[in-house]
Order: sequence, then C-alpha cells, then structure tokens
Amino acid sequence: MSARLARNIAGIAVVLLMGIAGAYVETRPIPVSQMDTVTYNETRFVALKRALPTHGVVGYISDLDLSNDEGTAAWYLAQYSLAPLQVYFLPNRTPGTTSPIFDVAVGNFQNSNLAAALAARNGFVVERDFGAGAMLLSRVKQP
Amino acid sequence: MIPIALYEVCLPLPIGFLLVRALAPRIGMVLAACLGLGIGIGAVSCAYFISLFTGLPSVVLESALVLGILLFMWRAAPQSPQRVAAKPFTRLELGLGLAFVVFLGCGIRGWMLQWRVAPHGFWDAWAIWNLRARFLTTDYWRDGLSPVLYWSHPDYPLLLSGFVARMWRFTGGWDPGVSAVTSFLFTFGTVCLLVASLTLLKSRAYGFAAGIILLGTPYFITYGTAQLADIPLSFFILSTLALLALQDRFGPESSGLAVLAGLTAALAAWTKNEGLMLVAAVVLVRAIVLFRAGGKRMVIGQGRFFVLGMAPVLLLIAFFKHFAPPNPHIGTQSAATLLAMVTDKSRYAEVNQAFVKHFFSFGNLSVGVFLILAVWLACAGLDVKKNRAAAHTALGTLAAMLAGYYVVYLISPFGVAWLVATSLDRVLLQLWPAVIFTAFLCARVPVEAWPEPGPSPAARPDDAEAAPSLPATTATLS
Repeated sequence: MSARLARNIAGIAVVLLMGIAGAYVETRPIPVSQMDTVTYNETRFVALKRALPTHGVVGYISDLDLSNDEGTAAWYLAQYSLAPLQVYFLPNRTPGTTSPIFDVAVGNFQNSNLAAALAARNGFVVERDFGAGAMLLSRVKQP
Repeated sequence: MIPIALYEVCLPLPIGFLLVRALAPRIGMVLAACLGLGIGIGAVSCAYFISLFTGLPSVVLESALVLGILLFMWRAAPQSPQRVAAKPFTRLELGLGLAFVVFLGCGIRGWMLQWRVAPHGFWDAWAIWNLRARFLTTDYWRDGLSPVLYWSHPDYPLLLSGFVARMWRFTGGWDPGVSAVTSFLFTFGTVCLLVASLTLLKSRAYGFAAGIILLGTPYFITYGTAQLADIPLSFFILSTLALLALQDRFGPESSGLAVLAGLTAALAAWTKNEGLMLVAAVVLVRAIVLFRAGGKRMVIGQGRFFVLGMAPVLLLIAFFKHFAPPNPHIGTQSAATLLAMVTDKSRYAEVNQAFVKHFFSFGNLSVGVFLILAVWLACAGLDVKKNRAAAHTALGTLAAMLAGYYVVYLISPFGVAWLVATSLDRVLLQLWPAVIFTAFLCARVPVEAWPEPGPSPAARPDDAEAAPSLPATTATLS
C-alpha cells in the first residue's frame, strides 16, 4: 500500500469517525417536557391579551428581577406573547430618562401575593387577575 | 383559494431557482436548486419589506419578479448546454455517498429530536427574530423597530424575520412550525449546497465527505433548530465563496456567477449585521486577487458584475438602516472610548484567550471540529493548482472576517467575557461551512490512488478535471 493511499484511507476514517460521533451526540434522546416555556407563557397571556389595547405601549410590572435570566426571560416572553403591543418595564431603569405615563400595565408575577404592593409602588392597582400570575393593572385614579 | 395560497407559499422556490438558472445555466440542477432556495427566500423577504412600505401586495412584486426573470431567460435565449453523460460512481464515491445519506438521516433525526424540545426556537429566536416577524405581520410593523424594544436589536436586518412574517401572513396565524421549517431548509440546504458545490469543483467523493463533516458537527444541527439567523448567514457566506470559485473555474465569461455571488453577499448583509463584514471582506480580497491576476482591467471587468448583483439589496439595506436605531457596537460610542478600548492590553488578552479556547472546543464534540478538519487536511494533502484564485479568495475572505469579528469583540461596549460566552461559538458557526468548503477546495483529490473496477481506470479523467461536467463551448453566461 502506498503512503498516499494510506493517508487517503486515514482521511476517510477521520471523516467517517466524525460522522459517527456527531450522529451519536445528535440523536441521543432528550427529555421533552409536556409544554415548553414559550408555549406555556403564550397560554398564560391569552386572556390578558384580549383585555389590553391591540397596539401601542403599556407598562410592565413584575416581581422577577431583571438582574437574572429568569426575570429577563419573563419580560421578553411577555413581550413575545403580547406583540404587536409593546411592554415597557417599570420602574424605568435607564439612567437619565423618565418613564412615560401609562394608564394600563401588564402584571407578570411569580408570587401573586406581591402583586398589589408592587403595583401600588408604581401607582397602579390590580384591576383583574387572569390567574397564573398574569394580571391587568390600571393606574390609580387621582381624587 | 387553496391553489392561490399554495402559489403564494411556494413562490420563493421558483424565484430563486429561475434566477440562478437564468444567470448561471451551466452549474447543474442540484446546485441551482440549493442556491435558489436561499436566494428565493432572500428575494421574497426583500419584496415583503418593500411591500410594507409601498402598500403593494408582496405577491404582486414577487410575480412581477418571476415574469421579469422568465422574460430575461427568453430574451437571452441561451443555447441549451450540451448534456454530458454523468460518470458512473466509483466505489469510493458510492461508499461515501451511502454514508452521507445515512448521516443525513441521522442529522434530520437529531434535528427533529431537538426541535421538539424548543418548538419556538432558542432565546434569541423569540426575543429577536420571531418577535420582529410578529410585528411585521401586522399593520403596526413599524412598532417592531421602536426604541422601546431596544433590547431586541431593532437595527438587525430583516431577511429572516421578513420571510417568516411573509409566510405567516399567507398561512394565517403565528404557527411556530413556519419558522422551524425555515430553519430546517437553511440547515439542510447548507449541507446540500456544500456537497453540490464541491462535487462540481473537486469530486463527488469530496462533496460527500465535506457533507459528512458538516453533518457530524452537533453544534450545527443544534443551532439548525434554533430559528436564529446564524445558519442562514452561513448559507450565504458559503454561497458567495462557492459562486466565486465556480466563476474562477468556468472563466471570466461566466459573469452571471459573479452577479449571483454579489447578490448572495448582499443577502448575507440583509440576514445579519455580520453579513456587512462579509461584503467588506469579499470586496477587498476579491479586488486584490483579481488585481494580482490581471491588473486594474480585470478588477473593473469582473468586479462590476459582482457590484451589480449586490447593489439592489445593499440599497434596500441602506434604506432600512436609515430609520432603524443605531447598532450599540458601533453607533453609540465616542472616538475617545473606542481609542481607549483598542489601546487596552487586557482586552486583547481576554479576546485572544477566548478565541483560542473556543477554537479548540467548538462543535460540541469531545475534540474541537477545527482540529479534526486540520487532521483530515493533513491526511489529504494540499493542492491548489486548479483553484488558486478561488482558494485565495476564500482564505482571504475568511481571515478578514475573523479579523473583523476580533475587532468587534475588542471595541464592544458590553463586557468581553459576557459577549464571548454568548456569541463566539455562533460566530464560528457562521464561518464553519465556508471553512470546510475552503479546506476541501485546497485539498488534493484522492481519486487516482483508488483502484477502480471496469475497463481502463487510467482512461478516466481526473475528477477535478472533469468536475465542471459541462462543456466550455456553451459560453452563455456573459
């Protein structure tokens, strides 16, 4: 066997081994939950979406902290579910800017017991609770 | 109603295929279909964006495009290329072909398994690409580019979101299956494009082997289900380099291939901002390669066709960028801040370390796939005699893009560690199919080392010589 042929065979062996290793990794069974996070959130927000304006900007209040992925994902998923409405995180976190005034806000709570207090801190009251932490909040009417 | 809906949904495929056949009738049906898939998706995405602005139904624009292409084909009336009988498969080609089919099946199976876990795609799919697509299906599509959604990168170009929005509008609703199918088409379209282009440029055996290496990269399949723009971008980078290599192979009269290469480069820029890096890199490198080959005359002679292909889509991108918010990497920092970053040695150290680490671990196998490819190349040996210009173009473009990415990491306003952790593997993924293509383009064809059955194997021409498989007499491309 010539050296060239041996190298060719080695090259083909490298290709096939990589194919086999890749196929092994790719086709390993993966546990699938009954409902993925996105679909679950879409379901949570269906009823709330009907009670909101069809477009424009509304506030967003949550007990989940934006400093971790869980809180950020909850905000982005609410936005994804409620599009083409835009949801604006309250309180405003951008330095040097002020929040627009919203009459309506979306409440997205992991612990629903915190909803009333957090809403009040931002000048809102819970108008309707749609369950699973999804709530419609409205601005407190000034006397 | 069903035939009309079917016509609307399927229109991208004939648009892309006809455009490729009109401009490059010599490249064969399989490669034309692969290229046509991405080009068709890109074309209808552009048409959809224009339709949002003008109010014209996109299907009217797209139908006009089909008629225009058909008219061009009829006016050009190329001689139908002489058919050359396909060479029979050699034992090596047959074996690798069968292995490729098996691994393709495994890749599709792996794709299905991973898609079931995340039918809406990965984080960026629902936070950026599909979110934007949802806005683009409504009358309030401009709100999707609003600064309120700053975190969803409203400056990102719209090929993927625009195409998904178009399909959602025609199919009704926001079915996640639409964006998943789009992801699937780009993933396996990239594999087929790699196989078909290398089959034409080198040999069937090398086409199949390259396809197996790409399919054997678990990271590629995983991100094939992600519904992000990285795989579509990798498709257009590969298309551009493959088309330029084919142009070099078929000769300067094949200007249609240069037009298509320009178009795919611009579609890369319409896919992701990184695509603009491809445009800059390939224009620069190609100009140098052409200048070295034939001076200024060749740069102008061939470069104009490339520019012609790029121009319409680049104009559209310029129009989009005119009102989209600025990119946080480059549009928001002062010159002093940038200067401080490029003179900060610790940032260089951090970026260097990240590049080295990801280079050795990329691919989600125990061994980095770049290393595996390097071992394969060492086994095969180098031979760029027949593809010198194409190899220089591909290598130079990839090197320039990597250098560009390096600079972006260096001057990013975000922390280097965070940015690298969340993006460097995806950036390498964008280049990976083109890297495989370039390695195989530069490799020595093994065929003469393989004894074949049948009469007089020595009489069979070398695969690389016969690769174009179409006669040079049909110069219908100019």
